[in-house]
Amino acid sequence: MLFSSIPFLYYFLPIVIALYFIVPFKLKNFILLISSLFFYFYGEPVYVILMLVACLSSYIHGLLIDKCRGTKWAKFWVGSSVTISLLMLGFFKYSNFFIENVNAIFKSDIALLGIALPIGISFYTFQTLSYTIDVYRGDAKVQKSFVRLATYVALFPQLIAGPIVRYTTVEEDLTERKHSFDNFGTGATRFAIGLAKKVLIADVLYEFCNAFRASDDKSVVFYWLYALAFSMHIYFDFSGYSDMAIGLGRIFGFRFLENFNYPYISKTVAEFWRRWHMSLGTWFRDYVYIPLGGNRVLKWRWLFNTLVVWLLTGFWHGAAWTFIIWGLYFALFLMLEKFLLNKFFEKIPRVFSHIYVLVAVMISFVVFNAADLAEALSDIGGMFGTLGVPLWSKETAYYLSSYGVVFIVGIIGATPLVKNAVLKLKENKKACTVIDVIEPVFVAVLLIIVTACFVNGSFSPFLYFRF
Amino acid sequence: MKVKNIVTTVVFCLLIFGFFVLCLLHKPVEMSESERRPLAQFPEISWQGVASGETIGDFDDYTVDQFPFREAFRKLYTWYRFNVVNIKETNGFAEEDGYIAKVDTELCQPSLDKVINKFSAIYEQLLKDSNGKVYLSIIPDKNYFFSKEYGHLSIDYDKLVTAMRDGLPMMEYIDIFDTLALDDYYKTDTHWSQEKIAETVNRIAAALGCADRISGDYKINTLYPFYGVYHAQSALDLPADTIYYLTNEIIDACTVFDYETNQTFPIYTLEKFESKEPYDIFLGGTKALLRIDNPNATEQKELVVFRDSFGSSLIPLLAEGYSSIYVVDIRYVDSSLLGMMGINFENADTLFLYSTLIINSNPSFKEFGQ
Repeated sequence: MLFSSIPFLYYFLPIVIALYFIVPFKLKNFILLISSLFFYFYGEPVYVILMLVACLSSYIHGLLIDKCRGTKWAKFWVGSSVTISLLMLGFFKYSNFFIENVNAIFKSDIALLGIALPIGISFYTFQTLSYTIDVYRGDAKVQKSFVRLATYVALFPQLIAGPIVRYTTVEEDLTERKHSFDNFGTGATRFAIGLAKKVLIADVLYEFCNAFRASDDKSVVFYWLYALAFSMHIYFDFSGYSDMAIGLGRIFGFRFLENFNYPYISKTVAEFWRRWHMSLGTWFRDYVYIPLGGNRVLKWRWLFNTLVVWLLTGFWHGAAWTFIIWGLYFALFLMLEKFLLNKFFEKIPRVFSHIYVLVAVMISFVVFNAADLAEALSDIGGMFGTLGVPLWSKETAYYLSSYGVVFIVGIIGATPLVKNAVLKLKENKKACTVIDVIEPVFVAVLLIIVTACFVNGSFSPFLYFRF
Repeated sequence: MKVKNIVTTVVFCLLIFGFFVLCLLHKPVEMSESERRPLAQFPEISWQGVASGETIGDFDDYTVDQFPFREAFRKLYTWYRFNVVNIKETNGFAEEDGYIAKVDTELCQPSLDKVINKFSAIYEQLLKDSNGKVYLSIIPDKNYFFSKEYGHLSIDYDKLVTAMRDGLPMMEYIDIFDTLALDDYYKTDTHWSQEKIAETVNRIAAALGCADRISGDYKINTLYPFYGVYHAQSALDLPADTIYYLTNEIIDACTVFDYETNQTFPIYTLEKFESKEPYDIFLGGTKALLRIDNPNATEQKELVVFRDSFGSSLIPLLAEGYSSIYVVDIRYVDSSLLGMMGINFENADTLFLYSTLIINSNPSFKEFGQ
């Protein structure tokens, strides 16, 4: 089920909220679990079994690790848990990729598996992995209630497109959490803003990208505008989804960590990745990079560690060479920055380092969105004028003027300008009162306009579903 | 506890619970009058359908199609797109100065090939050995002028016309593009307005050799309000058009015979103005095969017109020049059956009169057995 849909907003959500707040506290997790399983079932009727298997596996492994703590069996059980989780992910997400490559290399004709990618498998697999590893490391207490653990894994706000919520983040909330108008009100506002980011900005920018793809009148500027549009699209799509997840979690009393922090204001690629999809970055840091030795190792080993982490980061995003290249592309920039660019950036005005990050990231997302490597190279070639297209064209002007307002809204929205302005205004008591009055109206207006978009049938699936 | 958060909670809950209740109480509507399509109904639930996801997909469609105040929300959406974020197109429509146009940018070569092949087949089968002449005229759709006037995108019309002319060299081409302008079209509809196409009629009549038999004297009649097909489809809140129709004694005396129903009716069936398709007042609307008989014809000349809906308002103005005009819409009648239906192509001239809209839209032509 999509958050940006009428079935979710006007059927599922009111029913779940009503049931959740009616039942006594001891039944609230059960209601959330049942609702979450139905939420998943609605989009993936068959794969809900897979979800339950993942829950059961991490639950049993957690108990076994805890029981065998201090013995070699603890290591065995955590290994077993990780293996089962990765096998499930590997089978459903990467089988066809490997078969295609084997066929290409050995000219064989192995049939592809006729399986669809279970929605959100990358997210919930990483959550179950973090749980059993944290229990093994002693960073988290074992969860003895299956309902609580399954509620953590299957919790519908973050189930299918993240953020990757660590068990330790919600460990206490699963047992005891506070429900209040403050939580509900701020959660609802956050949800409405996220929904608007997705529907009113991300989806419209995607229209621009589609118009670019369909155009026979491309230009160099059109290629750059496409790169900009897609970069903003993916930001508003994904951060909008994270906002919705965080907002919904808050409504039900959970506090998820932030997943984005205005990544496009970064001055280095390393900083960009500290602000972009933070839950994934910290996951790889804590469960791959640091166990490999992190940066407290010899230079060659650090290079190796960085390559491994970014290869896996790229591969996590999708089973295609474009994603692997995309991940390694960032590894290259991180190495360049560490050994060369950071010293250089210290000597030049900050605006140039901002431009550097934006260009590097836009090119990366061109690769990310390409159907294959050939298309990625062609698009990058178009940006740098190697395809023989003119600098400007009639369709470039047309689509720029048509989507200009959304571009401006997107550019401003990708910076903390509005947030800072609101915070500044709130320092004034009268302005604060006005803002407090406006906020509920703003939420209502956003929901009404978004509903109009749904009714028009313009919703589109979240991009991050495929991960 | 902040009052703001209490108010936000109440507003949020009022909206989601309010619409939830309204959705449950909403009586399903069968047809969307504005979009002219059936609306999705509550799906039949079966285990197989649920497991395959089909039932869920159908339910999604149902919730969107049957949402309370659907038309109001569609209008809000269009208003938001055009007036708040200033996007030039919404659902494929653009609006400038009250004119609504369907923006088409892609020239569909397979569609052109299909039309050329069909026309060629008709020529080979029915017209090649006749004594009459065969003409082709292409009607520019509204976006041809709209895009030029307001800087919107359009298909490559020159390429389309060239392809049609090159593909049908046996037909004499009548160019009418320069006889028309944007204000010759209804603001809210796809079609041209009959009282504005005198120059176009003269151009075609001159090519057909019947110009001297057409008086050009008409009484202009009006019908109001006319909300064209684009008005409802685009969900734009714009003023209505006025339908103009031209009459004179000869046109009034003409009769139209419908081969499908064996019924005879006048050129203008005014009662259809109250129907869902007011433009159907011209030649009764969508009809497979008609014959217009002119009892006051000065010469026993016949014309066969293969046409789309644009022809419905132009052909009556040619009626003065012929004793009979056969009006054929090959989307609804198999052209191979025309010979058997008593149409005499032997001495009749033939005109293929089609709009770019149809030529480029991959039309389906009726084939025997369908």
